[in-house]
Amino acid sequence: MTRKTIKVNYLARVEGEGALNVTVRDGQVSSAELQIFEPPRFFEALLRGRDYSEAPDVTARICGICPVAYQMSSVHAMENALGIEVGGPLRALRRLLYCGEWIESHALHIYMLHAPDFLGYAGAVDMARDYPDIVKRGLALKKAGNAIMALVGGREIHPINVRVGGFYRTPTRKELAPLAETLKQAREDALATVRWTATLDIPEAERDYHLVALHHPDEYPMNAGRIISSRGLDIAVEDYNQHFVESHVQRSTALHSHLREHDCYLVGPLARYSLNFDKLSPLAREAAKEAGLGATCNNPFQSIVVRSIEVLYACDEALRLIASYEEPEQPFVPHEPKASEGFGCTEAPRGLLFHRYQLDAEGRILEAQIVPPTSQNQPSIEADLKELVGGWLHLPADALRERCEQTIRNYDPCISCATHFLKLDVRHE
Amino acid sequence: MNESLKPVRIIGIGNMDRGDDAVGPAVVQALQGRLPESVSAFEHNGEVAGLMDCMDGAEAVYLVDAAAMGLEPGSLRAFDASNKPLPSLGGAYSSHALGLSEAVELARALDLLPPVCRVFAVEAATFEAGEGLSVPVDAAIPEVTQALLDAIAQEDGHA
Repeated sequence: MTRKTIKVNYLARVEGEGALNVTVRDGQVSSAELQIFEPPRFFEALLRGRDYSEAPDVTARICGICPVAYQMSSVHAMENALGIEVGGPLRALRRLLYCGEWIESHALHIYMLHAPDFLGYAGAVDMARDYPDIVKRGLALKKAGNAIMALVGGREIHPINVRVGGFYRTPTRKELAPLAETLKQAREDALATVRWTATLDIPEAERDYHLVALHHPDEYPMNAGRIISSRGLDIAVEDYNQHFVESHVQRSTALHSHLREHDCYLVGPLARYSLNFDKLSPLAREAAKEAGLGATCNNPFQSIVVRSIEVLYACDEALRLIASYEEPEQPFVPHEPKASEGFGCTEAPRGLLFHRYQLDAEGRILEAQIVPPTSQNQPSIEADLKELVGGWLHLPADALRERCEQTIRNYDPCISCATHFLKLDVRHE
Repeated sequence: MNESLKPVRIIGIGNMDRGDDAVGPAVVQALQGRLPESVSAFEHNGEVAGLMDCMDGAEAVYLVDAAAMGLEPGSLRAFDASNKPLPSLGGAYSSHALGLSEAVELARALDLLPPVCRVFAVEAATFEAGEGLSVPVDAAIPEVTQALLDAIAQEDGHA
């Protein structure tokens, strides 16, 4: 029996701390385990006993790169609990804010965290020495996302302007006008990003994923819709717990999420794109075609191209929202607390993010449940490695290790969000 | 003149609500009204794209930040990053955000680093959310402020 061990002590450029162990026996990968050992952060317990109105600000603190996602899932869950409908310009503004987060988060991932893998650099600083103009373009894109966050959300990181029922303050049309100018340039930069990522040396890899994402009849999913899958799932957000289950595994302080009937599944850009291609803007669809993508994408390494399509879409969509924006009469829908239960699901940059809250008659939180995308993707990351590493065993040890890391970075996992990176231990037995 | 566009800029990096991470902003506050006309001082959260904007076009930048260098809390170390990389200041806390050393190196790689870049690092005792400055770091503010004023005065043309 031949046995081989590949060991990576720390996987860089992923948020949080964890490790990876891959065991190869007789040329076959017998196990791939993503260990997450960062201590849990107990946000769900922290929320208990607090007022429902505090949830958007508390949950925004879970992550510095996708705070809007946490805010959005929590406000939607609270609004669902209290029976409030937020429509018109307030709904449009939330979508605009979400566009800001997608642009900011995806641009950071594409240019700073993932592109160095494709170009053979240890990180963004090394890459910047050889590709200064490209890195500058990435930073400019990220700044455009930040600008939306600052204007609509009140500040760039951990926005403070979102409240149950709407916003604390809504912007004027005049305030949004300069943002449109920034976004027109960002849209050009995003189109250039799609063309550039399409030129990267992308490994051949196909996986038969069970894709899960939100789906909305009229729009590319961000903050509303039903949960659908590539294998026929089509459920309302409130039925999430009937179909998805979280379980504890010893190696991980993050819970593993499974579909009760189909085991592991994939959330995030590939799932959103493949299940909602026809809802992209014509410009984004055209750019995808030009980049060589079909209407679905099952190559995890192409997620960098799909992210860039989503950045382009988000710029396009943000411009559309700004152009059609009408100042609302009031910044939020008034409401009263009541004993209730509410569910919220939105599309964080890394994928589906589910929240559930139970409130008492005074609006105090009795129970909170938060299922982040990384917990949902953790079994899928392991399945990718298990399935793909076997095809790379001819690679030299360093290249094999790097390919494993790159596979994980395809997901842009946020281990901090999931509890919380990366020591890789690949054992060839 | 836009504060951030003055030729010499002091940037206090940190978060007012994270214990001694507030030292950068606290030093900026202590410097108000004490700076020559050509010098501005402002706070920044350290976000890399924004930080590079703050440095762009300056003749000199002085960055003040909390650090974990293994010294006594409140200890000040000044580094000249104009021509060589900073030593690790314990800032690689998150890989979704770049630390100060990486932000400076990224600025250098992109040819955006001002000709003079000095970093004033203050050893922190705590980064606890919701806490104010620790006693030793609070006590170090006058020393850090004076060290900055002295460094600026010594730099040719900025006195």
